[in-house]
Amino acid sequence: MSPATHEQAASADPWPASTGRRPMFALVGNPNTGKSSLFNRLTGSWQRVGNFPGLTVEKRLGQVHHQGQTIDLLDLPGLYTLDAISADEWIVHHVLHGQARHTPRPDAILCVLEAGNLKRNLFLVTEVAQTGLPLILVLNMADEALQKGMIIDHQALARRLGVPVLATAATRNQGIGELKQAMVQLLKDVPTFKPLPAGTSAEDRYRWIEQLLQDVVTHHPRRPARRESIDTLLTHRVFGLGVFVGLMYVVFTAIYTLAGPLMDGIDLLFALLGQWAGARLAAMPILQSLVSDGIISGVGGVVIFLPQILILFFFIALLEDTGYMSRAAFLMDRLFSWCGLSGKSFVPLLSSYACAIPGIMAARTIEDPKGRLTTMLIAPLMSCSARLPVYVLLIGAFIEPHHGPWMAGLCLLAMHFLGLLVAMPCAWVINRVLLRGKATPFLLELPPYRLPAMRDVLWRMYERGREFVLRAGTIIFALSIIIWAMCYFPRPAAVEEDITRQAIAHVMAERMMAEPDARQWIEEDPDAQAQLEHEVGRAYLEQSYMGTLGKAVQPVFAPAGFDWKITVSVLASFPAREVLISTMGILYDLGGEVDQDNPGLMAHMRSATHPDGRPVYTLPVVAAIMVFFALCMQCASTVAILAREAHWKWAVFAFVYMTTLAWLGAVVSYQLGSLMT
Amino acid sequence: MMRLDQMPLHRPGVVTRLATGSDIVRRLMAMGFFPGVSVTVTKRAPLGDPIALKLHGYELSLRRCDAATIHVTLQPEADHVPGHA
Repeated sequence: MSPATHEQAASADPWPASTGRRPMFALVGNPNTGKSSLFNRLTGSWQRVGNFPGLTVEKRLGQVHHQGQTIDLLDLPGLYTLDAISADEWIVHHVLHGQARHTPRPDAILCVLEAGNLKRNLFLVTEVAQTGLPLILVLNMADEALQKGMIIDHQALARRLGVPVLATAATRNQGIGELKQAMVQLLKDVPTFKPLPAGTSAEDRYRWIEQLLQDVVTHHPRRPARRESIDTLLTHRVFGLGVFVGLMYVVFTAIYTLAGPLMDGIDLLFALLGQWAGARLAAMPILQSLVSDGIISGVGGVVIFLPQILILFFFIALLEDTGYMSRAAFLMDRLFSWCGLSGKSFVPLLSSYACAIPGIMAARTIEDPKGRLTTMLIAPLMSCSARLPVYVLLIGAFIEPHHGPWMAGLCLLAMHFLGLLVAMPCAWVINRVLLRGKATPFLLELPPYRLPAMRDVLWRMYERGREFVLRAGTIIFALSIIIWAMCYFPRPAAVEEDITRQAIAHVMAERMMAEPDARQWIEEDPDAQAQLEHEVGRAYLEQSYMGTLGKAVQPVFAPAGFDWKITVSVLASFPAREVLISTMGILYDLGGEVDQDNPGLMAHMRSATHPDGRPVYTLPVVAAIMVFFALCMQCASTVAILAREAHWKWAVFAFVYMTTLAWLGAVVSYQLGSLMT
Repeated sequence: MMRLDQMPLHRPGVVTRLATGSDIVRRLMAMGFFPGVSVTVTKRAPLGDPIALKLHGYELSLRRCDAATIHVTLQPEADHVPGHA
């Protein structure tokens, strides 16, 4: 089959320009062709990101400005063939054929190819040409091809195909102006080339491509690629794994540790802001609490995630653009393939050990929709850093004193592994039972190592942060307000009066004072005042909707050995896991400012008894609490991010399945533990 | 005659046929696997799976179970032509 000859379109469709609508180009190409770099260079800052409706794959729209003309540019997901398997791949086919409901059919296509890898890249072009839309071929990464010693005769290729063929090196900003010019030019004269017939087999397409490229591409092999030997090293059984572990350690430590001071700073900033606002609004207690504990806290609760997200996505963008990410997935795949996941799940799940929110967002790097969703659904089981204070409190109060620091350390390690141990079978079940439909096969290209363009890396990092704040942040904020209200209202004034009266009576009895003297004494003694405030705080929490809910739900947790204070604390930790500790502090009359090292809290917990005198916190109970906390999804932000990244139904599903697992785990721990002791 | 997952490292081979009736075949064909194509296994992951191979000048990673759907013959050592696959 000989390459097609140039054909002028006999009757061109009326150009959008004449109908007043802006013309739209679609950007289509294989993964790893530098498509997003090219998109960035063409559109500058004129871009916005969204989702295709019903899908988790990104839809990126931008504007190209050139000589007074504005062209819309639609970035479609990278793929190898229009013959799709997953819905995420079909969208490209649908958009190009004008079958996508929410996206108009593009007027022309920019086919982005990797100049050094023309054969496979042209395969997609043969399919794209069948859509009948005008094309421009962009041979990107042309600088790399030159370095490889490849000489490509662009004119000959353009002649044989009948479409404009341009060379660009997007990361170096080369060829962009010419490309914009060609795009504008395409609007004026519309070349088309006769595509291969629709039913042409893959093999025939490749033979057609081979013939097309004859004498068009010539090789002058330069010295053997240094990069090949680097690659052998980096995928080596011992050295490669060592480098991998080292790199992952750096990334993880950066998120877990580096983000720490930044997060503390944000905490401090918002705490100060809250105090400042609180002082201003002292006259109106409800408004004061709403602004201080609800709104400012809520916004702070969103912003606090930014350091971890930005750091993680900086590293992910860096690893992806250098090409190392594929090697990481290649090394780790064996660990994941048995439960339906792939090596690409490693980084998202590892990051979830620091915090599930960036981890779930990172799952977007997984192309296979089934694998992506499964990874997102098990990510919250990874023992995140917010669970740590609770483990430390319970282990420090109940395990270390009796069993020593080694046992304590072992318990801590065990809690971290528990999540992982449960997560993998869950992934298997979710993959097999829940998510029907075909899995995209694991065909991972190992691109040549490249030097990343910092500009693109930083842009991606910024984009993720912005997306998080705008899309998930709103939900997290809304949930914070709702929970604030549940913990605040109904707030009957009688509660404070009752507690104050009790305190006064207590002082009267202890210090043999008359009532007015006792009242005055309490007001003047700062410790007594603080104690009174704490008791009032506890009473209010008990009275609140959250407290009532906790007590109502208590019977469900009785088989796990929880008392109502534990249940309320667990429920109240929904806004953020660490809140469990401050809630316990309130319920034990210590105020909400306690942390996991507070000796007063530990002492109270050790001496806490049921009405019949039995101690509340026995070892089985402690085990049950920790197991519950390890497996539960008491994190509004995780729910919010799942709702945004997947869908509300999956967020609800994850909450339900994890809470059920957590309950089962807690009950089993308590019952078995009680039997053994 | 052997399967792709059985190929020794760094020895070029030629694809003879692809097993029919498997889901992955369509995708493999789109990636450039068809009878007559030259392919070389370049590395294996430390845990044995997946493998990486070169064809049409690019490098691809494939799980062994999927690689097993492709049948190849090794090129005789003497005829080993260096250069791109």
